[in-house]
Amino acid sequence: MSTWRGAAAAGVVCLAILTGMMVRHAWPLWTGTGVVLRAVPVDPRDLFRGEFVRLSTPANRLVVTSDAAEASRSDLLVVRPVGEWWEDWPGRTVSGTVYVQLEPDGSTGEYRPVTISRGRVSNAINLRGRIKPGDSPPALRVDYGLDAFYMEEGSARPVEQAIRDGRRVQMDVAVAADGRARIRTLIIDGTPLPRR
Amino acid sequence: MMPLMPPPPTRVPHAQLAWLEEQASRWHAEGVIDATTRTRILEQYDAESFEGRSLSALTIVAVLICAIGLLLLIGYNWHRLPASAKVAMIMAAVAAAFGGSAAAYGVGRRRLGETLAFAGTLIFGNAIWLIAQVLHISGRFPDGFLWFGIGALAVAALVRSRWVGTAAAVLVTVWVIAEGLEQEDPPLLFAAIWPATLALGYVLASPALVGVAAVALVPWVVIAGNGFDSIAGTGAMLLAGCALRSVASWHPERSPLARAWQVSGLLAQLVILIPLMIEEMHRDIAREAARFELLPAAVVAILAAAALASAYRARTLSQWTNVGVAAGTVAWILLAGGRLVTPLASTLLFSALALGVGVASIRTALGTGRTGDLVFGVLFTMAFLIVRWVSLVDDMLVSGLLLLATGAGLLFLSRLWRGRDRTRGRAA
Repeated sequence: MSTWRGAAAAGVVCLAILTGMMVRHAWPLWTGTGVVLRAVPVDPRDLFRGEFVRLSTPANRLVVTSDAAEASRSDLLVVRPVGEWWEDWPGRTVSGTVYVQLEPDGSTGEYRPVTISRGRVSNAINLRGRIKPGDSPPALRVDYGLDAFYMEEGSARPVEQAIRDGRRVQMDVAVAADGRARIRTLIIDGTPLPRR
Repeated sequence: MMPLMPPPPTRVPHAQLAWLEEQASRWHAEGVIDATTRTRILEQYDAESFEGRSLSALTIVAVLICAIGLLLLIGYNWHRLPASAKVAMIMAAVAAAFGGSAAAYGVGRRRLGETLAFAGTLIFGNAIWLIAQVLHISGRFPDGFLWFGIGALAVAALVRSRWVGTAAAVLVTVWVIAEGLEQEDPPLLFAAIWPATLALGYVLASPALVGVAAVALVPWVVIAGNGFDSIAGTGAMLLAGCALRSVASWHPERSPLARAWQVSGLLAQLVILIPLMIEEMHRDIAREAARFELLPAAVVAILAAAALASAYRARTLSQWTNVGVAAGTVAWILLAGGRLVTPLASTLLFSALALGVGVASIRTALGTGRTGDLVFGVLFTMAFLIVRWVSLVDDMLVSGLLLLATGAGLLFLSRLWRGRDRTRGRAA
């Protein structure tokens, strides 16, 4: 390959990587299944990323157990492990990717985690997350990439105030078939915020 | 038949041309060259015209000022621009840099083409973070370095640029370190990216690329060995240094690529031997529960085999010392794993190994005349002396004697080095 063609091909490779990055980000929003998750505010501002609301969901901290007695003692959300992978983990450091299977709660319409697995479970809504350090079995801290909702400059404050006033806040989330999820919008007291 | 046109004279700065004229006159006066040869040499060169240089400087300043002005205008309006416009501008900047590079290569201006490809690679790296910021993509930060590194490797391979290749090797190393900060498992993709980076280094015959890429192995083996404060992690890092040095012995002796492996290995050994000469480090390691795990054990075994295999080709004292360091490290891993060695004994072992590497490098430097060997020899010896001195700092008598001995040793070394130059001068 002559070098001018090489330079042109190099540019194409770099642009393809950047395009792939954007498509990968947008894919869940284009193709994902919509679910509603309960949201909990964390911190209102990040100097490096402009204005946004930092959020958490009860699904970020889970207790993994099949033991009903242990489940009843926990303040955290309890999920059952799918498969035998969890049997090997107690007493060891846990890391890597997990999939949390969601089911709708009939009374609130919110989806809540019911089981957790190392791989995707067929015919279920699988929310993909990475185990974060900080907890030890049976508790798990999981990051789903749903920790921030970005807004137009100056518009995050009213939302933050609404959250502080104790109004009900939910996330409208798109979950793709591979488990990756993106926040579509926030829902405050049943009213969705206008999409960006 | 048309007479061949002589090539146009190469333009050089006035000072350089004046130096050449002076030297040519001297060579002529001393009878080294005749008048015709002198004239022919001087006809090959011409002074750069002042007007031309001034015009170039003025053009560069004008372009720079315009570029800064444009950037300020974009910056002033940045938050008013829609996200799609920002992304389009970022992508256009990448395309423009590589388009310019292709155009420059097309008209035969290779240096400008390579410079623009390098700039394009940097803009591409910036674009990853800028697009993530504009579109609020919250990914894993090591992935940013991974894609930056993959892009840079592709650019280096396609435009055959050593500069871009070396930058790519740096990015691969940064990616491995970032993965180590983010998670406890070693990135398995390294098994594909590392050989690809090294292969590119050999294709481009770039010692800098190979040397930097070789260093990337070190953080990876530390992660695979369960971290810096574990027996396998620490031992694997030292063995990685030995293995990198052993790769050098499979190259021709004076090969620049061999030197790249040698320097990377010595750097890795120096960085890990300093803490290993401190007893507190061994107490910390001893507190960690020693247990057998497959991946760390496999990594240690492969590195030990690679390091000890160099015994087959070891010729110099430095190479034999490297085999000795590897053997000592393997013995320490086995003994420490079985709780059969005290922290003090470990400290003494690694102090002796550091001193051994230092003395062997100095001895090799005196034989080969390579300044690099001398520098590493002095660094290892100084590291040994400083660490040992710090542990004795309360004892003024021993500290004083140690420093006096060090100073005397360095004076003796400089005398040997000077003597070596005189002997070589006489021999020449």
